[in-house]
Amino acid sequence: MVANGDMVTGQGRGAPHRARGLQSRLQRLADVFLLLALPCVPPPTMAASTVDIAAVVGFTDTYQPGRWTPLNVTVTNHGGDVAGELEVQVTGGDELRNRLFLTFNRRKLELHRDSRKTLQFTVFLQGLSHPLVIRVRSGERVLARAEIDLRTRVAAERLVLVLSRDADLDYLNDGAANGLRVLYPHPELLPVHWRGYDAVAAIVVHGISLERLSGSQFDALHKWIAQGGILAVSGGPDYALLRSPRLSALLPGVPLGMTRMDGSVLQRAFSASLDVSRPVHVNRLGTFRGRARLRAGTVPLIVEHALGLGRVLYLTFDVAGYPFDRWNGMRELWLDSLRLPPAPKLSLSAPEPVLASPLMPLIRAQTANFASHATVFYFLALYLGLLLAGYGLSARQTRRRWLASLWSWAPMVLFAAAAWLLFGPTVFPRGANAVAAALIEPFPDSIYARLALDVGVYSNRSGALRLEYRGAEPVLYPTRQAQRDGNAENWVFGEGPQRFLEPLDRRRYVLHQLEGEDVITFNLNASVHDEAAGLRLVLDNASGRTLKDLWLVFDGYAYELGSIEAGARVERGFVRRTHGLEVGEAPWKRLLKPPPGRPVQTMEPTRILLERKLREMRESGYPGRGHALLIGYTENPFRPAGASAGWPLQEQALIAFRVAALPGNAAAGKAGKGLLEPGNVDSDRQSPGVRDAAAGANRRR
Amino acid sequence: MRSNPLVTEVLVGITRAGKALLDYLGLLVLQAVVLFLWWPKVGVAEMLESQHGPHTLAAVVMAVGVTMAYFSLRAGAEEVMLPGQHGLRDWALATPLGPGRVLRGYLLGQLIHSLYLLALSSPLLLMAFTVSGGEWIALAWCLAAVLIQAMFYRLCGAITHLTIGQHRGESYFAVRAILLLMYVPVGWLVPLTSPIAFTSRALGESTAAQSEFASVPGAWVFLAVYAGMSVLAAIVLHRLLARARRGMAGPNDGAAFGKAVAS
Repeated sequence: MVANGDMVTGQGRGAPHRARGLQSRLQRLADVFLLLALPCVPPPTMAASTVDIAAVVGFTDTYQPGRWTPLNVTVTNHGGDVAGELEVQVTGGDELRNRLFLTFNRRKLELHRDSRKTLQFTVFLQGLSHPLVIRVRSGERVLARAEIDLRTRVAAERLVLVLSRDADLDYLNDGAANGLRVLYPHPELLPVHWRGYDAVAAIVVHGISLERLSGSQFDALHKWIAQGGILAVSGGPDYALLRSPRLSALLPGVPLGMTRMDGSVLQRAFSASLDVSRPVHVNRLGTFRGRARLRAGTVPLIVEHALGLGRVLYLTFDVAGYPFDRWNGMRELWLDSLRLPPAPKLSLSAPEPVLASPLMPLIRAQTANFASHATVFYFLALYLGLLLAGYGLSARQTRRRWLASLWSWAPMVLFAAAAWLLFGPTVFPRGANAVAAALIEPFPDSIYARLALDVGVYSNRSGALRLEYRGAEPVLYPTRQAQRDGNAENWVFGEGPQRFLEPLDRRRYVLHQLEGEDVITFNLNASVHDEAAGLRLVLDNASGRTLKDLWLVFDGYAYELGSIEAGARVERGFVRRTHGLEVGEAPWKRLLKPPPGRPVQTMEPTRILLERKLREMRESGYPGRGHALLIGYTENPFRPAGASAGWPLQEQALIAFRVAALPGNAAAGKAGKGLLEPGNVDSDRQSPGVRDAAAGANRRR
Repeated sequence: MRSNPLVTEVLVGITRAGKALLDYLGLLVLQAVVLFLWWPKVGVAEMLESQHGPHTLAAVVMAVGVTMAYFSLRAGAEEVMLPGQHGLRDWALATPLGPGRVLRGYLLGQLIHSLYLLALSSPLLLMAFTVSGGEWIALAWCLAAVLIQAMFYRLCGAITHLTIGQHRGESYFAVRAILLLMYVPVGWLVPLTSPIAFTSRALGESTAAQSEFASVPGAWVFLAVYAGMSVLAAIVLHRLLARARRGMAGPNDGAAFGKAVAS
């Protein structure tokens, strides 16, 4: 320091001028360099160009508006490591009335240098005029943004997916209303959530193995079939594919080899128009489940097997091989075999009014309310009275100063503590609450059940309301009521270590509601036998949950079952006059009591859930002729988790299991399935293989 | 702190019963009435249906703010005094304490007294706190606003007393006119200075996230405006005290305020 000081002072009088001149030149030079360098600095948007976004909407970039559809987004990173979030913005609502709302689907995204990742979302694309907006974010910074024009990707028809390398089923294409459109998606891009198949009428598998699918994809496929989907599997020379674990678990039977069929036999089975000049080989089946819809002598050609509410068809011949590849009757054969149900109406276009949400009655029944006015009045009167008394006391007792000092502080300290205890968070919890009402409908002949959810979140303080949850992976959407009223909110749905939902409206005392649906594992097996002596019920509760306050309703009578523990198997006989309560078609709902420890008002959500179901089943009645209904309560599978695990939850879950009643002693003594198809050739029971495969898939998930 | 006799006087005064406590008990009854009237009349479910939460805390905080401002003005004008408390002029004229020390003690004493009054209102605030959202940060901002507002009004009251205090009738009306003027026309014309608007913003429903309230510039502006006005009032008061000490202004001269400002 000293040396430097000496040096500076030793430069003489002219040195400061020279130094100043040098400094000025350097400054100018620096300015020039700065100007030159400015264009080289990439703006944020240009920096973002190192990340590319590509998206495939639906199946082979085709989707049906008003349906849930898979969206595969591929993000490619050409730059440095990226740690952020992938966001898909979907615009929903009534475009004509300009009542729009946004949903943001978010996923964590970590991409190393020069790497690529494909993430799948299941989104509800209501319209086509607003593009999908996809963003890659890192904190507040948008690294990349892409807009996907939906107008060019629309299909009005229902979709038939063909999973095959070479099959050509284009003859099924039909541009008419309620027609079909055949698509050939890559198996790797199939949905990972069963709702992604919403627009799909049927899936045809030909010459490929389902082992290529990921665990979640197979799980989604299995659930989709269980809730009413149709899977058709074509046989062929490479029948080993059909013996692979996943396909054999779904198929009615396993091929044992090939059988040679004469042309004339095939013509008799199919049609004389089938041009067969040489023998054809078809798969040879041993025993199979389900029934043969088409036979050639003793050889089954089309075998059908019910799986939950859906069906699996096994066509033992090669649908894309000789002679079926050139037969004009194939379209009719397919349509006859698939028996596609009419396309369900879109919920929002249905004219009937939507019933009120069960959430508000649930809140009314289960939420701690404000302290009454009387309590407030007495508390205030006591406090002010005590202060006045203290004033009077200290005014008179002038000698006892310590007492006066005590009186000046004691009441406020005491009453502040009392106010916190009586009116504070211990009595009236502060912060966020979750509310969930569920209707669980086990599928017959399946380990799965449909879960219809009403979910709500609210808070008595303003701020972010991010609910992390577990137990179900429902697709969630603003309520139909809110959409019709035009007050649907904007939402964020996310996946990561924990799934979450978050309304963007952060006001307090606002109930943010969603509707959701899922297919969950709920293994409940029941058979009802309508015998001369009375009714016999065999119930196997493998759901892992206790069933509470269970009732059996059948043919105008209701029978109380009480609680059935998880893992219990019960077999009970009921005599109508002794055990049954005679009820009408509708009043049986009054029999249901609230779960133990719950107030009577808890019945209101149950009533709403059942009313909805009754409306849905209006045509066939509920439970309907020849059907029994098992109805009771259980624990709601949808539960707050992770950071929201401490949220108070007001919940109710109603089980409604519609079981086809079996006449007489059919399948007596067995824990059979709800639906036994008439005319079954073989036992229509789900094989242990199916259960194991499904259970395995769930374990993996 | 206790070495300042004005502070000691306040500390002793608040432990004794006197007119000041009785007056504030009257105002506390008013706060209690507000709490009772604004207590939710329907249940949580009905609140959720209407999408409007209770405004209980905002109403009580506003009531506390108004009553404390009113009380501070009166205390500044020496309409109400703690038992054994002396007037500001007495301290300036009859003691060797410098005007700066008197003023420091006066302000600190006011702060302590205001905190005591807030403590008296605390059970009411806590009752309303949870049902109205229970955001500590927003409440803290509001209470800080109440305190700084009370300080300003106390100084205004003291200035009024030192300038026209000898005319009891004029002083009586001037004190109330100041409160009315600041709350109604000024608050309406310049919303940033309105404590009602401030409390409504901090504790009302319009705030999307109350934890982010501190980031709202209005919060700082309100406190800064009142702090600035308090500083100005304190300077004026200091000059008035100094002038009184020097005996340069007649004790009954109403023009002292104008001269003090001009100097």
